[in-house]
Amino acid sequence: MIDPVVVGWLMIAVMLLLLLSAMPIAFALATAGVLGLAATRPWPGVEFLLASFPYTRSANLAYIVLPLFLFMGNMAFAAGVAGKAFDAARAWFRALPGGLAIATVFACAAFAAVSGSSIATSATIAQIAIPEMLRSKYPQRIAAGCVAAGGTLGVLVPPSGILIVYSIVTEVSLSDLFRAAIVPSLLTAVAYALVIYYWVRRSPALMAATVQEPVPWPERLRALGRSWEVVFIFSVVMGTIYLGIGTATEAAAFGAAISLGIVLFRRKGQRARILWRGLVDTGVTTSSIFALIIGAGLFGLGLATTQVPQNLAVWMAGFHLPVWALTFVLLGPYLLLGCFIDGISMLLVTLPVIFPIVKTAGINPVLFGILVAKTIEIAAIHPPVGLNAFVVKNAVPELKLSEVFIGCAPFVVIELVLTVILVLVPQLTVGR
Amino acid sequence: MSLPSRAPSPQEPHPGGPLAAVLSAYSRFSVALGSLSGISTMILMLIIVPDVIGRKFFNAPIPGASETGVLLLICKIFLGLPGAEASGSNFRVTILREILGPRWRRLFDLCTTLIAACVFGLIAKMSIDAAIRSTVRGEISFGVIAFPLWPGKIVLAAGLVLLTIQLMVDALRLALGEDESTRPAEPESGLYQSSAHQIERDEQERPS
Repeated sequence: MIDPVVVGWLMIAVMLLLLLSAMPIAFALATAGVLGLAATRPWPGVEFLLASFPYTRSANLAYIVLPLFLFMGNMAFAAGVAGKAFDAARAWFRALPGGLAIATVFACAAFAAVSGSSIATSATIAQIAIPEMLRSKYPQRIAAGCVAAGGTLGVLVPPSGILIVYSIVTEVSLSDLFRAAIVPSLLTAVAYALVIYYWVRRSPALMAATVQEPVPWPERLRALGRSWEVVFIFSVVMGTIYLGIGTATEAAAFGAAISLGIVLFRRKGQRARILWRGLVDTGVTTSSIFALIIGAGLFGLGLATTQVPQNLAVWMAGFHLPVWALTFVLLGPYLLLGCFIDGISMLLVTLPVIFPIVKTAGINPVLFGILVAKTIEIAAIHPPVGLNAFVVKNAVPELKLSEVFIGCAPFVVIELVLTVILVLVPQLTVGR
Repeated sequence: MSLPSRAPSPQEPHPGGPLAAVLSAYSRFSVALGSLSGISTMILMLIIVPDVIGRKFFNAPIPGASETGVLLLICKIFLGLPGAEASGSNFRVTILREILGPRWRRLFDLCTTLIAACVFGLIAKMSIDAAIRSTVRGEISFGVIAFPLWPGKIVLAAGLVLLTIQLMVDALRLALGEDESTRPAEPESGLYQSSAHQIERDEQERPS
């Protein structure tokens, strides 16, 4: 019998090897997990686990939240609410230096609040906002940078898909995560707006070019009224959770039904096509994410048997680091991995090892979820992966990719600063 | 934002011969099954929303709504797995793969697909045994109503078997010299990861 700890490290090595061989991440995790279980447990025990685990990992009513929020995002996307959110934000902010870019950030925040997806937010807002900013003499780097960075708000703003997956894997309350994400989301949006404001103010020519005529107050209010769908969907979803009317699953069901209603009412003539696309997309994405969740579950199960996460937790406790310092240490791998893999995969590859340490060290799991979401935001805009930068470039082909990444740089810096602030002032997130 | 399939249409004779045609047809079947699994979202919503409204405002929940919801979720996840594999929608790390030549790439893909087929074949075998035991015993849940659990276990086992077959089909196609450019089209764009695939493919397809 091989030493279980050796098996644990071999499991991690096999998983990394398979990942580098471009095996789908879900399959790599499952393969390493099954091998680990077979090496450390008697065969009847392995048979029992493999027979029961896929069912127990997926047969939970609370997990319905994922397809429902995915469907809500799809329908909100199809209903064209992004354009109205941008019009409203433009009416309010266009008189500021860099006003259109600031409006773009808030439009991203608004659309993220109904789509829960960073990619969808960047792709949608890029097509609406960037051409207008370029026409208004904004440099490419500001126009593209603010959309790529603004899009990352989809990682954090409820109903963030990343937070949903984190909740499923760690069994941390999704309602708690959504509540905790509100203040950091607002802080991030305001910080992005300030970055743009001071960036533009440094250049008098840019400042002169970007300050536009203010919109009269009645028109501002009318523009806000026209974007009622975003406000309505977000209020229903978060109101259901905040006021304790229902669970996150129930909020998702309401949100999905309302956004479907809006599409059915608004997009007459295209309803069947939009609905079919939304359903199919939700189906494929749900299956891919659950494949990852089941794979990560098997990997976690195998790894737990080997005691590697527990040993790591004990080893780290030996350094007697304060909780905030340990939090920084644990966030390090996320910043590094973000250079190579996407957010959801990163979460599922690392959590089986890191989450037991988080729990043992007494780090608030809700806070840790928000911090991990912040690191995923950063990964989405820095090279070499920088998925949002590619999404923006793809949506507006005349942009230079180098300009998009240069434009993201100030936002990466501010994201790092915000992450440090959230670690040092956890009250901003978890309220105590 | 749908992708045109570069796989031969069903009317044309398949250039790879009858075996390749059968393999290609199976992949298309998997994608179609995945698309159908999307319908369960609609049914889910039609059950969950009235149940929540009934429970919260009229104190009259729909009996069995939660259990049916779980069954539909199982259908959605596991019947969608073969389609996600067939259309290449599963997340993966391509950093090393991108620097390999086509031959090495195919060899790596073949090895990893065979390994995955073995692992999921094993899990499918265990799941079939569990589904048979559950069906023979008439396994039910002990909630507000007695709801049969065995249909969910049968669907789960069927999904894993179909996924294993899809993995073997993919391995055979790779062994026959096909690569992922002949995969059936991903049904539609995804808000989470498919857009990234789309970008990757757009970049590959864009004339230099």
